[in-house]
Amino acid sequence: MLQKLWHKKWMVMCLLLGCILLIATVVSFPLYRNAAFDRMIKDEFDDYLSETGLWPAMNTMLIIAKNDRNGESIKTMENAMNEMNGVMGVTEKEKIFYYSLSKAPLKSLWNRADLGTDGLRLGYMSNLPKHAKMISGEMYSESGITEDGAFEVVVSQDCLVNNNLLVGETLEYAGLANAQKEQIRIKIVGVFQEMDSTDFYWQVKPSDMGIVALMQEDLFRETFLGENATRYSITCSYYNLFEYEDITAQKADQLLEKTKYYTEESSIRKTMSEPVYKELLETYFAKRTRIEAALFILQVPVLILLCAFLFMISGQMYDMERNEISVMKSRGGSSGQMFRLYLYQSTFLTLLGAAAGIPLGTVFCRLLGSTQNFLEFNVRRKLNITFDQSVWEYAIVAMVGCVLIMTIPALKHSRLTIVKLKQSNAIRKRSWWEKIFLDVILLGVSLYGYYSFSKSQSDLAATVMEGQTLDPLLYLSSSLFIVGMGLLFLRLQPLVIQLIYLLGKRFWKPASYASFMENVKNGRKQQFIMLFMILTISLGMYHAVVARTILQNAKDNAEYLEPVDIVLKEVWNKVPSSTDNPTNEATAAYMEPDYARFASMPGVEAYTRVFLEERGSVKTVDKTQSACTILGIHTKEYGTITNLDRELTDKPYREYLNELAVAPNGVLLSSNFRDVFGFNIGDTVDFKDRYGALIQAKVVDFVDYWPGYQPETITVGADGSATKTNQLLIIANFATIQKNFGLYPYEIWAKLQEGASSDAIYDWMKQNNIHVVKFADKANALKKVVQDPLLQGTNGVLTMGFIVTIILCAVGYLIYWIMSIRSREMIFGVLRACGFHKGELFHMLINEQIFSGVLSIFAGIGIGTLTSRMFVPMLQTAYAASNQVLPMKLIVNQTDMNRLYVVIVGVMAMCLITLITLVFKLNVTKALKLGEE
Amino acid sequence: MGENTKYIIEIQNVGRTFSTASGDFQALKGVNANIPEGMLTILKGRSGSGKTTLLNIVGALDNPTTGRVIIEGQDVGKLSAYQKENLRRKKIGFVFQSVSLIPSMNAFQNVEFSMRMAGIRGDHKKRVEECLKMVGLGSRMHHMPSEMSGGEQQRVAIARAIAHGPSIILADEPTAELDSAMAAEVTKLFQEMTRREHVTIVMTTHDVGLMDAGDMVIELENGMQISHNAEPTATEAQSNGEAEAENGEKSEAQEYADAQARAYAETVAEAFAESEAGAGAEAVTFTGSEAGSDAEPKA
Repeated sequence: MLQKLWHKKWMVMCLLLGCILLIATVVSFPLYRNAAFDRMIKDEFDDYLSETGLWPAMNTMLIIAKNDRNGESIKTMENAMNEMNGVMGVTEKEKIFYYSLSKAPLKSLWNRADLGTDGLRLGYMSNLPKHAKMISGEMYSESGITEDGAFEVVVSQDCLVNNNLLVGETLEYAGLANAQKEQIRIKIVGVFQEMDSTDFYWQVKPSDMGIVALMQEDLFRETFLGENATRYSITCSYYNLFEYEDITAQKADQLLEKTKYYTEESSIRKTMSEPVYKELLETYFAKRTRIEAALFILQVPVLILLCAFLFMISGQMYDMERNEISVMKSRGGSSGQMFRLYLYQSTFLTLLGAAAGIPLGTVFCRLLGSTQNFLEFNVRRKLNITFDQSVWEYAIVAMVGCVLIMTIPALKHSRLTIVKLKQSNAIRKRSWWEKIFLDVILLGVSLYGYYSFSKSQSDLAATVMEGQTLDPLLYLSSSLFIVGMGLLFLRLQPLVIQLIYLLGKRFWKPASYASFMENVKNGRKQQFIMLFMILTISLGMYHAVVARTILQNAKDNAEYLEPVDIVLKEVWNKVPSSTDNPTNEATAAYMEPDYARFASMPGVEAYTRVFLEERGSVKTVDKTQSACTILGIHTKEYGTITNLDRELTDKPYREYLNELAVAPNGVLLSSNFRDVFGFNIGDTVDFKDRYGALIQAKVVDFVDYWPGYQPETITVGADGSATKTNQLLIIANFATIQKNFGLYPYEIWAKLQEGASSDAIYDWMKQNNIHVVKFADKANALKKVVQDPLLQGTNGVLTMGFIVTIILCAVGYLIYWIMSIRSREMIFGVLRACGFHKGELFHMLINEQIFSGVLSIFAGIGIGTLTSRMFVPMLQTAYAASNQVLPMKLIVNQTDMNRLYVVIVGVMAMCLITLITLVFKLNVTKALKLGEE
Repeated sequence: MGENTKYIIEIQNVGRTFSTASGDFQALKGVNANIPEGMLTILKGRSGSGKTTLLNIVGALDNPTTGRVIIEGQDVGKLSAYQKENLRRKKIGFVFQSVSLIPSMNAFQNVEFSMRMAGIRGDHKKRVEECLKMVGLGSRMHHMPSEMSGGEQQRVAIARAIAHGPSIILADEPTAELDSAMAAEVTKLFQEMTRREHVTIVMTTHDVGLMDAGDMVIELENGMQISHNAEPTATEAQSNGEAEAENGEKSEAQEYADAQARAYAETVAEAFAESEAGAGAEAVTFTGSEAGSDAEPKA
């Protein structure tokens, strides 16, 4: 067998290449998926952490154990707490037990009259000494008890001040005694605060411990827990923090499942609050399903091409062996023997393929992860590659597939006898697909798909929002369209060639004539490889456009939603109020921080003040109030730092700003005011801020779009149905707003200089002690879009798919031509002997290349372009984010196309060079001898 | 012809040495021969005697190590590769031992192709048909090579070699793959062509039975020419039809002379056509051998 393989080494190499690529592609899928999902989980948690400042990976439980018999309930809770992380499969970060007795009155043993307390809760926090630092006094001692039997306690600053306690004083509880009926006494030994305010240990802030005195852990447990618990009412809070960095895609399933068990089924379910991470994980799983399905669907065409390649090459190899097979058969070899021989052969190749393919899969996976754009890589981005069971499962499926694909063509051949061979050689017939009009059928089906999808295009966005994944049928339609068009081209190509031939029949030079004849008679043999090329190129083009369009639209949308580089909103202090009710914000006045400071922001080109009220209301119909967003702007400054695509609005953006600028009491309204509520230019509109301050203004104009404005939002209800809500926007002059609404915190919108980064602004804010409640960084938002796993994965899969198919295409093409030239070597020799010049031979071969290769490339480009124009607008809807505002544009990036062309031209050139070398090596007399043998 | 005899091919002291792994191998060791115009010359010899090498050198497919070949007064060795190719496509027609048709072209196209190669303008159809009729394939013009028998294919190859009106046809063992009857017919065809088309034909063969058909025979052995029946004899032989008497049977030569008197083309064509149809009665008298066995399986 090995000898046989060596004999056909070129074909075998091709088969091996096919196996390797197939296995690598299949294996890279779970590898990439796992790596991307790991990153997604981390991103979800990171985002939550950076947005809220809260540790997302945490379970909290709370019980109030009143007269707990033998402390059983508490014991149950503590057991659950201790085993929870293990069950969920996560690494513990911090476990916090915070117990406190109910508030009990006490009196100072110093007999102070000014003791400001009606009672303190006595409690403990686990590991307190490690996380607290003392601002006065000291931490309780290890024994936690003074010589005269008082419990040493520490309190927070707030507790000390609010209750007017003194450090060092001893107090005695009136109604709180220990098991021995002795009244409990406490001695305040110190005042504590957080050692590090960012420490997640501090789930309960010292500032919230206004009436809590904390004592030594063991002493508390000994005195009040266990059997003693029966006597007391104890509030037990549990905070179980775990690390999220190591939650991988695999662990996520277990984590979510166990979390659901704890919160929904376990005996302690009622004590648990819904953990934040559960929602994060659920979001992740929803996204994951969508991504997984989308990536898989996108990979299908490549897998089909790979299988077809293997099928073709092995079929061709068996064709070459037909003589041997038929001779062996005629000498009595059984079909079963033949079949087994080929089965062994395929298995052997597959094993070799797996040995190289699996490592190559990891390379593919890395490439996938570093794809920035179609055929564009960023090598700095690294993925975490882990092999889990699923990877091996995929690998085994791929291997079985390889063996089957390579062995099945042998079935046909193993039944061949020499008689049948002779018979079949004599028959020439039309391809089966031409007879059944497969091309027409495929085109019909895909166009029907196209038609029905374009009819329901607006519903598509909604279905995507409802969590449904990219409709496979939609993608299938486009793929079928490409295949159908490719086949149609193959049907027409010979006719076109024949027409050209007939047009110049009398004038064709010998070389052209020979190539025409060759194509007319033998063109059918090339159909498979031509179809392959057409599919590769048109899919490549289509995918390039898909990838670019989706990415560019997402980027444009992000640009639109984040109209300026930096938005920050400073924390404003309130004017100390003389009224008794400081919490009523409406009446509170703010102190405006020094606006002039912002002039020193580094790297800023221009900035402006923007008043943004997202909870305003407007009188729409009669007396109905509708929620609206109110934007107060300095028209001139605002105009210099924001912009709007000219295509989005009727008039140039600046004109709207000018209209507003000349009408101090005018407002611009979003066009849904006009379309939904029937407002007209010149009408008066009444709107209020959240506190009820009213402005009456004149409508100056309507705008369809405004930087950052979403005309409608889609929300998904509990039942999964999507609803659209119109968003109303009122744009007024900043001065008008401030005059009527009063002085409220405004936002600073800044445009950075070319190349400046937000880091400098961060540093500047730190130096100038500026605290913000909002800081939006456009670069960050854009980065998130680019790194979105769906977009990134799509780019990656499409790029890898293209690379794989172009390799196959080149190899297939070369093999086809090498075989074709080899089989015609004798004829070339005859031609040369008859005086055919070498140049003419090239001319002939190049003509043949043009008829097959070059025409296929052009057909591929044409079909790719057509398919893009037809299907991309629909496909991108499936990718649209929930906040897609801008009308989608079909983006054909010339650089992408050029890159594609360079690859194609490069491959073609390589093929040509190889072929030319082959022809050069052709020795006339030798070739003739070959024929004589 | 007579005293006007021209030597269209002059082979002067041609030697050819091949380098092989086991040392140099001298395939030709100084062959001298003058081949007169318009005759059928047979290069005879056992396999390995250097016939094909000599033929390749004459056909400008190979270069001699020593000596030179002059075709129509032109030293072939002094031509560039390109000029040699032009010489081959215009002046020379080749017939190879094995089937050498272009499989993607039918019989007609194969023959026409050589006219295209030679750059002949005007209507090719008439000439192609004429040539195909001459080889007896007038009725099978539009068949593909794969649909024809070996003998038929070889006849197409001969038609192709003659179609563009070359001055020389070089045939390397054209009969090797044919049965003896077929071989005789092909040889006859060559003879007839030398007269009809006034073309010089050089064919190699190892088939002793065919030797006497040639106007001239050159015999090679171990790369050396051992006999070269003198040109005057050949000329004479041609004129009185007795030259081959010393080498072969008179009856055949006589028969040949008779045939010459008739309208050759039609007769030969008919003979072929009939032999194909399996009705070989008349052909027997014509060829003097078992022409009936020529009936080959048809695709």
